[in-house]
Amino acid sequence: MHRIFLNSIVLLVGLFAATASFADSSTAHDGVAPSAGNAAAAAAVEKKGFIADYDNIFIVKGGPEAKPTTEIKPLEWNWVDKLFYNPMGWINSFTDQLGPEVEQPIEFPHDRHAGDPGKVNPDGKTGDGINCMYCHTFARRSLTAGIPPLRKCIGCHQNIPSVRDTPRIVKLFEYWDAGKPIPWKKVHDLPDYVRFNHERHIQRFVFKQERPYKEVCGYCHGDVASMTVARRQRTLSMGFCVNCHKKNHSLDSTYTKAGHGPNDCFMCHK
Amino acid sequence: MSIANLLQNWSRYRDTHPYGGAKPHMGYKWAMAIDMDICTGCNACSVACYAENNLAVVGKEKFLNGKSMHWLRIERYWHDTPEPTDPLQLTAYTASGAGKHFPDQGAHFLPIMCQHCEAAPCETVCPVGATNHTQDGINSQIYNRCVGSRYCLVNCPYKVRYFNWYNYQDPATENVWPEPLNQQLNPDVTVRSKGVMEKCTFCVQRLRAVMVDARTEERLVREGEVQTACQQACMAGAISFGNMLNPDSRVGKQWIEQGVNIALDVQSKNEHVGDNTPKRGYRILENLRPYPSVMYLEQVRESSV
Ligand code: SF4
Ligand code: SF4
Repeated sequence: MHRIFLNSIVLLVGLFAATASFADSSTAHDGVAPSAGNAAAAAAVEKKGFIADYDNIFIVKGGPEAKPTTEIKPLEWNWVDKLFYNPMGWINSFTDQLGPEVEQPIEFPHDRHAGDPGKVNPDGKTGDGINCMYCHTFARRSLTAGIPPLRKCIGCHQNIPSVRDTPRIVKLFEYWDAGKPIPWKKVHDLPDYVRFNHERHIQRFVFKQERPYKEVCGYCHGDVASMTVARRQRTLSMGFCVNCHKKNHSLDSTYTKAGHGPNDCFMCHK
Repeated sequence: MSIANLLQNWSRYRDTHPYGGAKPHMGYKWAMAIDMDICTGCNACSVACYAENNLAVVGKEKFLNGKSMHWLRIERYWHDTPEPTDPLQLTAYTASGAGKHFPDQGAHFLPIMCQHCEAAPCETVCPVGATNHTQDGINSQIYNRCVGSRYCLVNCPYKVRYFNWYNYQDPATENVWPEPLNQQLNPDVTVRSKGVMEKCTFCVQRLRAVMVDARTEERLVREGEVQTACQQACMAGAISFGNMLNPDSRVGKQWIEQGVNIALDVQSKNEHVGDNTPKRGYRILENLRPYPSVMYLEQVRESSV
């Protein structure tokens, strides 16, 4: 109900917002470097006889940014866009906007594993505060985050006799005894023509900027530590990606040099 | 992304011919050199490209109808009689059949793929901006953006763009990859569907994989770190590929050695007549000024007929 109310406000305010966004986008989308950069580029051309700005590879436009807030909001559509550019988005805005509920072979409790040790989950247990990358180990060094192999589950669970007889763990050991992998279903499934790279995002935000891993994973995956079976929280549409890629982000934890994600089609599309 | 984008001119967002332009190459300029003196015309590169990039094998009938899908084709030219300079011999020459082919004299082979033009004719005609010049100097083809107008195909002077006339991944209509064969598909490359244009991408999936590693280690891709599939398959080593801006790169050295400057359409080496070091480098259809990124090295002929 409150969504419908909000939408009607959006409709009213949108008229003004639309004008603003026209003026906005002409500057916000402008990828051309300032003219000082051109002069430097021209100098580089003369020096090397080649066509590169070879000296300025990692210097990207933008200066020091303020310490980031933890919340990165999904893309906001104004009503003009909603009606003419993305009518489905407008219709979807009346629903809960989450991805489909995927039924997994074992209802994996993310909250029990990754949840905050101080917080009591709906099932009355606290979380274990395990790092996401303990199980999704490939996230920091490859394209895909990776689903842990069954032996990783067993590796811990054979030493936890207290939960051994609970239905989910019994099922887990059935797979193990049968020597079969668990047929997990994909929740965050991107189209085939998209190349999303976990490594670069994790390296930049967790290891270079030293932001907390839960926050960084949460930019795209939401608060998985409070879910049981993961469900898609963000649209993961191109608008969602670009919204973040056009912002300047610090290159390291000193927050002195900033750069943005690639805005070149061929970087993410294949 | 807003409706304002739709109303504005797409070409503003393209990376144009970067020499002196607003968008210089950022550390990379991928380029190629193909030595036709070494090339034996064995087609291994073409096959490798099929395997790497999920190309559909269309069969004889469709091929003859001009619906072939080979991103890399080997063009074969029989050696023919050179035109005599002496006008007295010209009559005899014409009478014997001008330009007659002499297969016994041998042939030369021209592997031809997308030349990744710096000022690509195909880019300017795309109504939706699906093909662009990227910052690292390759000509991109964005399949999900492509609407299949085929203007680019018409405007490409090298005729290296191929159109998906059928849905080759649909086993019901076209059985290109029947059941066990679908396992051979490269997961890093999209299987294109009907109505989409495609062409050589300089094996962009391989480039991106090494560029990501390099970026994480805060360096540039080193020479020899990446190979294209055709380069890898060439048993004679006729194809060299790399980042031309890297002073160590073989391809960059070859371009300099042959006096071919990527940003010129008339090469100065052609003007230095007195210079007796033989230069074999040339680019195809340079005079049309697409500034292609692939340099060919002419075959040295032993005999003239
Ligand atoms: S060779 Fe053809 S397809 Fe490739 S960039 Fe040039 S014009 Fe475009
Ligand atoms: S560079 Fe890659 S895509 Fe291009 S012809 Fe060679 S193998 Fe094919």
